[in-house]
Amino acid sequence: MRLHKTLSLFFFTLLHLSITVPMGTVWAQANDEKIRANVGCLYPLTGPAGLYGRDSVVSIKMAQDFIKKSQRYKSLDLRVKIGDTRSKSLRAVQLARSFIDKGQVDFLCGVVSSRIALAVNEATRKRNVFFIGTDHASPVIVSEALQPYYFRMSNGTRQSMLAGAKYIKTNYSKTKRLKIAFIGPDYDYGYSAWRDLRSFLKKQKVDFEISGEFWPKLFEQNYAIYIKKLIDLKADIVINGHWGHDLVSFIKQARNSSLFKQSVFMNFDAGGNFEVLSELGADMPLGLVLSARHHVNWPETQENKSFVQTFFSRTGRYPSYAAEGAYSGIMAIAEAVRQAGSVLDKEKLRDVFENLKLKLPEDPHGFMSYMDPHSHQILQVQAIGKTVANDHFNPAKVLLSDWSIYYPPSSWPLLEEKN
Amino acid sequence: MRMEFNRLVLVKRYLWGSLLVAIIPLALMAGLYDRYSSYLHDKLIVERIDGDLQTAIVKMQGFLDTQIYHLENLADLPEIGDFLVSGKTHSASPQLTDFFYLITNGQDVYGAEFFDVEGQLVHSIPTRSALTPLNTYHKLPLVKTKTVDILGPIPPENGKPGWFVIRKDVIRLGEKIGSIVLKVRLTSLTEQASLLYRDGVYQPFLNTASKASYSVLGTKEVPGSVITTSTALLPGWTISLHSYGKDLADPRLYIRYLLLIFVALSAFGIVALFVHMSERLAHLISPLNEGARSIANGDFSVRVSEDGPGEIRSLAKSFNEMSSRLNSLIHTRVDSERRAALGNLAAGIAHEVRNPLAIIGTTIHGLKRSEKDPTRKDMLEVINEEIIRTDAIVEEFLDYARPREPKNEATLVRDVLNSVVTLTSATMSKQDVKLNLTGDASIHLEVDPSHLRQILMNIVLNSLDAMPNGGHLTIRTIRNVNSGEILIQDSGNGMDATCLTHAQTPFFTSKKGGTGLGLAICSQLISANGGTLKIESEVGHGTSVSITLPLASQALKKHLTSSQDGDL
Repeated sequence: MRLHKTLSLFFFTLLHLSITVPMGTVWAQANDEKIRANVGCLYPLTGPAGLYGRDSVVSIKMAQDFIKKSQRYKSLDLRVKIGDTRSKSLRAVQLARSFIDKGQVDFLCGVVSSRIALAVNEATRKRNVFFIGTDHASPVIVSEALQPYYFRMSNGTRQSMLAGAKYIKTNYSKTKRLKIAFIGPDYDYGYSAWRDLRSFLKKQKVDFEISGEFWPKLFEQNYAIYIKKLIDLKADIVINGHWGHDLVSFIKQARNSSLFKQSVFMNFDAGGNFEVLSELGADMPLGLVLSARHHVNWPETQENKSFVQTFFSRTGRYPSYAAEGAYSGIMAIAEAVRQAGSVLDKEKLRDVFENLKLKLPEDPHGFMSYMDPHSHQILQVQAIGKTVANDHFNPAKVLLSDWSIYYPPSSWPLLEEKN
Repeated sequence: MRMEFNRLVLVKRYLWGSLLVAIIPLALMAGLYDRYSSYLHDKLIVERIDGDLQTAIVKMQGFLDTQIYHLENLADLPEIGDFLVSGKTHSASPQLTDFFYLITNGQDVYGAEFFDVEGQLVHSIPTRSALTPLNTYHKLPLVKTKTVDILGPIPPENGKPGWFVIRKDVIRLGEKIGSIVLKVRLTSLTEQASLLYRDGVYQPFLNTASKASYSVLGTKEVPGSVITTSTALLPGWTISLHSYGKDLADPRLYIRYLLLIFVALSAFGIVALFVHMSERLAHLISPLNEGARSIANGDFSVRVSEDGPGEIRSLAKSFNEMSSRLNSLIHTRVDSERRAALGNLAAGIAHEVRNPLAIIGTTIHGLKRSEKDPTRKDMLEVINEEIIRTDAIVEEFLDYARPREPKNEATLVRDVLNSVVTLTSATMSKQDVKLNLTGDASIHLEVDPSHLRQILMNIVLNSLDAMPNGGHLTIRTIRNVNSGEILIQDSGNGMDATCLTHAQTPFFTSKKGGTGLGLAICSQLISANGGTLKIESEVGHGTSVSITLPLASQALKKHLTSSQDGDL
């Protein structure tokens, strides 16, 4: 029944896309009497990362519905176009240009892959269009490649790795020199995550050595040789930088090997994503140290429970972190436009974004997400947990628990040294 | 044992011959199979490795050709010529960027860079490179092909993957106006050889002109011992296969050693079995051999064990039967000859003794009739009794030497015993011997009644002689299935072992005045009537004599039973 609902929504979305807007785009809402803000979102709706895009579309609609009903945003007319990037750089760049040139969008948003996000960022650098990142996590786009109108509304790998380094420091670095191996996707997201973790481990004065580094392609399907090499290394900790289907494939292929018994497996940025937990079901090993930018069972606030249950009631499934990222992105745009009063004054809008403070579903009690004005990176709490048996959120049979909570620093952390 | 074994050389030869016949083909077959399988295995392995190696080379070459093709397509774009000639840093047009993303979407190319004729960077896609800075290119190892230059590779380091560069000059109107490089993912090249990866057995490595080796995952490693090397992928670039952990031939060697051990164990087992059989056969045949030797030496009493299996037991039985018959035959022959001699002697003695005795007896009888003096008459009577006794001895002697053939008939034991008891009752009474008659009264034996009477009389008299001061005499008759047994037990002095052994020997006697023929004659008569005699005795406890004789046939017995049944 749930599958039926899911498929129905998916095919409905695809049908809607194909009928209303060329090049796989859709107008989500229209109201001419209010402050109108046009948003063009880029997500993969098909292919290995398609679920991220489909989850994002649902949560964007949730955000729009919330805005529509909210007195706070009564003067706002937020319209959203969605384009299917199919996880391809060329298509994403062409969609972005089309949104800007033909769709007259005020905001680009979305993008799952950091590589595609960088490509879109480069292609639109001189167009002076706001680009609100909701899912990609490479720190490069908020540091070396930062453009004035880019803002990211979800934690990036740097924040994940900072929390991860603290977790390793607290739990594993007391007795001996740690042997750490890394495997992550061969693009900027993977490089940045590994570089940041090493830097933060040094900063935390963790005594460690690198026993190996491996860079399989994004969307690699066969990890057999990589797993064999990792086992041969006999590392104390294996840091995994994969996300989505890649992580699912890796865990499925490694679960019958000795890797998870021999080494502590950690993935601080995307391993605890509900999409991964639900896809693996009972195949998810216990005792893995994982985190994500959003969890269905943390924080146990009314906002998060409401977000998760609303998503579930609409789709029959629970949201991945991409959904919460997209929701945050739309809510950030709405709040910024509301505070700026217009989409025409870009400098004012940028100023609002740089000082944005927002209560989002993933914020624990007493905490609001806030924007770092220098990096344009939202700063949020990072929760790291261990996998335990829990079937309260089917089809996942394993969820995270035994949480370690890490609040963000006052500003986005910079690296002290090059690695 | 060794001597026995050596003596049984025929058995040994047969067994060892069989052993060789069994082992030599086994060893030959194992050797041939081992050699054949070894050859086949080596051939298959080599052919497979060569095939896979060639496939890997073709795949790598195809990958490089694809990247070179992309590079040539980029170089042919008109826009490239324009901004390379201008010598200024340009932003690429959307079309060029799109084209680049189109050709690099497979993640095999990290980026493209464009240099003018002076070697100055004009443009790069993407504009920001996460990889090594440009100024290191001139330090990279260079390999030239007909169309492009290959630089690198740069191994994975500092948290970045490995890569290499394909560079192509851009030519317009016959002149070089600049160059384009593609930064290619090294693992995308090395993983083309992943079909050669065998976990724990062997791994492929890409060897470059700079003597570096890269694993299938693109990591720089020091490989194990080399198995084979391919032809050149590029000048100085090859794929080599290196053994890791297990020897390549480990599985085959394992099976080979297992087979050889199995063959050795089989041979050992066969040898052990044959030795065991040889020893067992020798052990079984040795007693027969010794028995035959004993018979050859004149010992006919030898017997061999009949516990052996099958034919050995049958042979032992036949041997024992043979030795028994031979023994019996010899004894019978000796006895016959002895009796013949004794008979002649007895006849002579009887003739020479009895005639004078008859004359003496007649004379004594005459003298006695004419003699008036009672004293002298008594003396003549004594002489006459001694003559009668001497005649009786001669008669006994003749009986033994020339026994009469039995005339068998159904004889009621009770009748014979009653007769014997009647004749000896006076002596029993005189010696205060208590008689006890028990058992089955109706036994009819198929014997000569006079012989049976003589036998029983002899034995009873012997018992009475053994009880001069009184005692108990028990006579028991027992009916068996096909025989009747008469058991005579006295409570007399008994006999020691020596006397018991020679009791049935003619002329052996322990009695004063005895002839030593009583039991010998009994034994002879019992044997002549188809019976057996068994004597048991213990000094101070008396003697027990068992006489077993065949039962009378049913017809005779019925005939007699109707009129003569009764108890003793």
